[in-house]
Amino acid sequence: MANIESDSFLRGAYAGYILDIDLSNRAVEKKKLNPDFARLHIGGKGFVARILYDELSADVDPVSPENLLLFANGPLTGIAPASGRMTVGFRSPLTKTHGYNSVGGEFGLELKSAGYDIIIVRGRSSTPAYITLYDEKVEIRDAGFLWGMDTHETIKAVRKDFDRSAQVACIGPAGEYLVYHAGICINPDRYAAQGGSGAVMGSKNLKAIAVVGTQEIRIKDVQTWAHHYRKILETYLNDPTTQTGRIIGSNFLAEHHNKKNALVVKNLQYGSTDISECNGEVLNERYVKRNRSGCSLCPIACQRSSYIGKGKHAGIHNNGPEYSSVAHLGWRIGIKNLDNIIYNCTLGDRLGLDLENTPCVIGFAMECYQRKIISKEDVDGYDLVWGNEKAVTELLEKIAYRKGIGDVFANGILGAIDHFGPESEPYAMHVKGNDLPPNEPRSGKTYNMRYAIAPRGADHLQAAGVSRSAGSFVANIDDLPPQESMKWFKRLEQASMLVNLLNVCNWAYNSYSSTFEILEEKHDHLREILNAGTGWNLTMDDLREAADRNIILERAINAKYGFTRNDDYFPKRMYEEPCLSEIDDRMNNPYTDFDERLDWYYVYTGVDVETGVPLPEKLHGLGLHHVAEDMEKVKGVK
Amino acid sequence: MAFTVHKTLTIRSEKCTGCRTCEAACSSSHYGVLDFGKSRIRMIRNDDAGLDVVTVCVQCDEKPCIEACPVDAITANDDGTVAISAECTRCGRCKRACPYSGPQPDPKGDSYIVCDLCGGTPACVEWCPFEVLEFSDGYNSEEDAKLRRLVEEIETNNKKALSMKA
Repeated sequence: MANIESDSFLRGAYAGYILDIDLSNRAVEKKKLNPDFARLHIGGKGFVARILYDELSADVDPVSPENLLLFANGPLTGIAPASGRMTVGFRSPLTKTHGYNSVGGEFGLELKSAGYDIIIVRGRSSTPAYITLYDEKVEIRDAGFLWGMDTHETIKAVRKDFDRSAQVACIGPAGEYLVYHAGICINPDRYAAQGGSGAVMGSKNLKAIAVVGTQEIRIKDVQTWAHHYRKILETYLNDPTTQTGRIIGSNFLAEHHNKKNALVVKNLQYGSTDISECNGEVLNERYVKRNRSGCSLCPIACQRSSYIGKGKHAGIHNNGPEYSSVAHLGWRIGIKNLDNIIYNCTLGDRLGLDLENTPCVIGFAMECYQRKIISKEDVDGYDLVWGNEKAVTELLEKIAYRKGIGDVFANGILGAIDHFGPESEPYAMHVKGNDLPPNEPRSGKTYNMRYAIAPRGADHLQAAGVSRSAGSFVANIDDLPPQESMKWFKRLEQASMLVNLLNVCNWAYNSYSSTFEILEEKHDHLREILNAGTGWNLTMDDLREAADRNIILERAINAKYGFTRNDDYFPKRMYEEPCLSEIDDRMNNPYTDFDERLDWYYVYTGVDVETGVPLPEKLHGLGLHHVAEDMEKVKGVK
Repeated sequence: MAFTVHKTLTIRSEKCTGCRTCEAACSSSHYGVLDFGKSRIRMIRNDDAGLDVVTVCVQCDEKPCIEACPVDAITANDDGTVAISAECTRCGRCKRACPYSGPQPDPKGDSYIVCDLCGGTPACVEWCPFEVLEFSDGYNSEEDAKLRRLVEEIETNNKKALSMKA
């Protein structure tokens, strides 16, 4: 059991309190956050990993009352630029692995202003409920009137019922129906998704959490804090890559990946296609009504608000879509009509679906249909040819309400493979049951190892590096021998983990940096802000060690659940076929030295090369003694 | 004749992205903590309309807040700002009278709070990454040139329209 509470109290940067809510017997407990615990795991992803490791048993059913749903802030949430992030933790119904989401918006800041670092939700309410926090005042209210509403309606209704200025996290119908790739909607159009956090929330009969915070966030040394805060703002303004994020938003990646033959066209059959009708510039030109808008304290503000002015879907408004939604709802399933993409994006947002996993399952079915593995009869009579817009729109709704074939797709890609039979498996583009993100793995052999090794399945955020628009950084590390290149990979992974521990934006501090030097400069300012806020005196090495500790802890959680080296592999297509282009003769070669890369990753991380289970001596070295003892047992079984 | 000239805050809301850096700057420079409720400048977001608007006292000439105060707690300063004294009963009439929603209730205190221009160098203006806020005597060569171009354009268009009619 983690010693997460104590009598001593943390002042500065952290809010200092944990809220423990048991929905089964409607008990609410407020605990003090243990400073030693905070020092060891820093925040966000680290808090989530440690609490889940200590509290969940190895065989916990993800949609049972025994699973936990955690909302965790980091020390820098609300006190650094671009820090409107919050981490959600749970065991994933989709992949059965460790589950975590990072989400933007203003919920994290509001939660910290209300005086909490972590909310732990356990048990299951007997009737639909929603939780309201107004500083110390915590209530569990009846949500009968909210049940069945879509996410946007829910947010409005909660604000009417509770407080006009509340920040709301809620689920839509997809979460209520326990769809394995349902997300948690935070304010309209921001999502904590991947892995089915929405289904976990739905399984607890919890429709929403609403927060109003009016308390101050203490900072020990305001002058030092202000100095480094403004230094980071300056770095943003002087970095051209950050400017790209400001000017075009995440959709600049469409053209960029197309050039690299790295799009995920038609379920990863091709790496590039004609996107002249659906790239970032077209989106900005034709649909973006308002220039930009951002999460709390973010001076980059990459979010765009798009609006469909004419045609069948006229009047549809969406705070997005971001690149990955466009990629998955677009060329991954053969659609290039932005009207339809934006409409489906809004529909999915309202239904409470994760728009990464949901279209991917449809894409998988489309490839099975193309290869005649399944027929019309298998999928409720839909003609699942690439780009069938009507079918996709209808399927989104069927999945959210688990109707017909939607009930199968709602169990994620693993459920769909079970249903379609083993001959469909080679076309399922996933790792550990999580679908491959919209950057083709074969286009960057080192960088995209992140998909294979990430604890929650194919995850592009495991090691989000220096943006490729900056130059040839990633191409360079691919030229190095595996042993050297994986050393770089570890540094990128560390950098990503670090921003997730502090809970600041991965894009702002990693991806939107022109060079690795700028990235490190920003990280150093973050360290100064952390020290100024808490009064600690941490060095960069301390922070890197904390990142290593939590990277290996996440692996240990998966090892406890029974995941081994065998689960860290790509689908066969990545090793056997080159990635072709749909329009010209470019191609990316398949992975040839995957095993060697994986070996080196394990060596650098401190993981047993044979089994993929963390090594006890490494865990002892990082201060995780009880985890080390558990891993001895896990290792013995294998 | 004696008269005073003072600089004022100008807000260019079309540039605002709603990042709330101004609020962070305001509360930290006044109170040494981050407390968005205690900020004298506020960002209001409308998700549906996709709008972010900043409200703050802009040192107007009319000062309807002074007139609206039933207990005469508000007085004018030389630099264009107003001061709210301890007499304040938090009735909120000043805020309702102000077209810019300048005065804000202090959530923990007994009175209303309002922008004091940080004694001449407003922190929000210094921190704003998008130049939404400007502290000047009202003359900005760049913006002014833009405006003049616009006026000229309209005038030439009008002339053209008139000559076509003729």
